Order: sequence, then C-alpha cells, then structure tokens
Amino acid sequence: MANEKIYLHEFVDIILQNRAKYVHHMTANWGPIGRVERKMLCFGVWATVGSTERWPQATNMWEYNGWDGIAFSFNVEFSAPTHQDKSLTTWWAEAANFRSGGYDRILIPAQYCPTIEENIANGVKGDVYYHEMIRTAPGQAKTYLDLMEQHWLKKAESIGLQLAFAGRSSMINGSEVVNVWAMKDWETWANVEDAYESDDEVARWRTLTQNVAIDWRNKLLAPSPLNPMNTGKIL
Amino acid sequence: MANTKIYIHEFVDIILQNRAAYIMHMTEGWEPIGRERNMKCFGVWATVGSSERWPETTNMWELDGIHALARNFEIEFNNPKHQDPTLEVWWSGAQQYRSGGYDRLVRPAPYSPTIEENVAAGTKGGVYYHEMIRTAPGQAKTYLDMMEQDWIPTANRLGMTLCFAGRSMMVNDSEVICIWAIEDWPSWAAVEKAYESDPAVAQWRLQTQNIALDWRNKLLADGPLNPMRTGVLLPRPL
Repeated sequence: MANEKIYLHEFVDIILQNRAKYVHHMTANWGPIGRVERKMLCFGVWATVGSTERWPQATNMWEYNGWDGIAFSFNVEFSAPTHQDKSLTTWWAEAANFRSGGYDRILIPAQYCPTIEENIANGVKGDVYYHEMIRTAPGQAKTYLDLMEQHWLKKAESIGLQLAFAGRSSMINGSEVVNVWAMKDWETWANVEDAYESDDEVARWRTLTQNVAIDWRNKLLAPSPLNPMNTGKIL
Repeated sequence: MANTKIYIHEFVDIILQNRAAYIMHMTEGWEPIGRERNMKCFGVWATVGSSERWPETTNMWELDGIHALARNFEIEFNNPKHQDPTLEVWWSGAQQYRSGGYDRLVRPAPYSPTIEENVAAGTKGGVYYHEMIRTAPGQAKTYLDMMEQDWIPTANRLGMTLCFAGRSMMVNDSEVICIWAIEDWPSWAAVEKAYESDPAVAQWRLQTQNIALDWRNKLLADGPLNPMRTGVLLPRPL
C-alpha cells in the first residue's frame, strides 16, 4: 500500500559531549507523551558520524498520519501562548541541556517508502545507516524518486543497502530528496564505498540521473540504543 | 606507489582563545590513541584567521584504506555512547577547547604523498596553502589528473610543494582538497603575486575553467608537534 504518512526530519546541534544523553532522552522519554498525545511515532534517532559531516549532531525522524496528523500536532504545540505544549514542558527543558538548535524539514515519502511499522516487520536495521541528501534540478525530486524505484533499488540492495526511507522535502521547489539506507555492519559500508568507486552498474545509475541529480552530500548515522528499527519496538 | 589510504579532514570550531591549547591536546596526546586506532596524524594546523573562518583548526588523519576506517568506526559507534570507551578522558579534555566542526572523508589522488613520504622527503612549510575546489559534477578526478600533468611543475616553480591532493567522498565527485607547503611568509606573498600575473597560472585557470567552478583557499600554520614540522610521525613507528 502506498505510504501516505508525513515525516519530520531534523538535524540537531548538540552541545559539546551530550550526544549520547540527547539521543537517550529523545527515545527513552518520547513514547508516553509523543505517541499518545501528539500521535507522532519515532521513526529514528541517530548520532551523526562526525567524521562524515557536521558534528556534534543528531539526526531525528518522526512519522505522522499524513498532513492532517502533522497539522493536529502543530495545533497542540502552537496554540499555547508559549508555543509549547504544556505536557512537554519538562521534557523540552531537559532536552535544552543537551542541544542548542537545529534545522528541520517536512518530508513527503515516495509511495514505495516503507513506514516505521513496515521497516520493523521486514527486519530492516543496521549497525550503520547511510543518509543521502540529493539536490535535484528544480521540480525533479519526484522524477528522481521514480527513477530510484525503477533502476536503483534492486542494485542498491545487492550491494548491501536496505531502503529505510525515501522522500522529498515539502515547502521547496521539488529539488531535494532525502534517503536513509540501513547497512548490516561497518564492513558492509566499506564494501558499499568500494562499489561506489568501481561498480559499473553504479556508474550507469549516475549516468542515468546526471541531469536530474545535480548534487548530493551524504553522511553516516549510528542508531541510538532505543532506535525502533534496531530494537523492533515502536516508540 | 599509488596512495591507497583514506583521510579524515576536519574543520574544528574553537572556543574563544583555545586554539593553541586544542592543537597541543590533539597532537601531544595522540601517540597511544593513534597506535590503538591505527590512525596517523597527517597534520593539525591553526587556520590563519585573516584568510577565512576563525577561530578554527584544520586537522587531517591518515588511515589504511576504507576497510580500516570501517573497523575504526565499529570500535567507536557499536556501543551505546557512540564513543570509543578508551578515548573518553581524552575527548572530555578536548571539549573545553572546541565546540564542534565539519568533517569529510577524502580519497587521495594516486600521486598524493602519504605522511610517511612527506616526512621522508622533508616536505614542510612555514605556512601551508589549503585549497578547496568545487568542480563540475563528476569532474573531481579529472581535475586531479590535470593537476598532476599540468599544474604541479608550475606550482613547484612558484614555491609550492604538494603535501596532499584528494577528493571528498559521499558527494557527487565535485570537491577537491589540496594542501601545499610554502617555505615561509615571503614565499607565500610571491605565490599570491604570481597568481595575479604569471602567464602559466593564467594558462592553468583557462585550461580548467569548465572543470573548476569555484574555489576558496585559506592559509594554515602548523602545530608545534605537526609531523611535517618535527619530522617525527605521530604515532611513532614501532
């Protein structure tokens, strides 16, 4: 069935050595309030692998029941005069000790993108995740996602990449794709990098998309201990 | 022999006046850590603030290829804290000096010297030129190939000795990083003059104009314990 959810994607700036505390706080204390009151599932909370991009940083994703679901959640959050829901005041205050800010996006999933429930049911998980942010020609994000389904998913799987998420940023000119792939272990990641350098089918995929994918910047993510895909438990 | 190492390249945001203390912390304490992680210090430099972002340092680390790096990440990230337990004290020491940074994994050009080769060749500078070149998508390798054939002899004549040349991984093959040693500050001034008026430089720019789309360079001053400065590898070979 086509994925009709909506996702909140966050890059979070961590204060000094607090990354482990932050990812724990976000996952251990999320379920009871977030899931029940905001109807918002934790899709994943990861530590960004600093050697591959900005640090210290965490990457979070949350899953909503479509646009109506996220509008409901924003309504809960922003109708209060302080722009924070009351029941999360303590939780937010605690988080403020660990992070200074961030950059969020609202993502529309590709139709074939699995939900968090499907990922768990299919056993999609890894010791490491590949996070891709692809800038496409204006208006071509959807085209790129379609091409991915037709020409890349099978190959990606054969080199050790399991699709956890594929989608495009809303509120911009159809020019940004975000993908997250699970890789079994670190050795699998090294093999993926070898393939990216020398595999002919990877080169063909690059050629096929060269006027659609203008630029990209990828990074590695390490799952937090309570990451739903790794524990098999919905948060 | 072709360089098959992998490099971690870092721009590190320093807290206030702590650049010198951070550089000492990173190099002075590296011996046991580098040995344990099989990770050589390629260089830790102070970014010359007048030439770009400040306060900042630029660090580079050399690993024995992508699979060695994967093993390193495994030690670091396959535990709940996402930190190598043996590095906890060392990392805590660093946090008073820096607030964060931006890292890249970089593949060297086959002709790029390793740190051992740089030290053996006596490559060192009173100042280093750090180049970050944005190429047309997919052309980073082409640029590096052209550099080897057509630019390095001219650069050498101008007083620049190549320490490192490579391309960023995990992007669309569009970012090249080069580091050149320059003997002293007057030599750097001579390089800048040549960049303005030397016909061979103009020829190089013309030749690469559809490949090198943009670049931003900066100057680096090496840390007191930088291997290229001291001639001693970090960690020392057993």
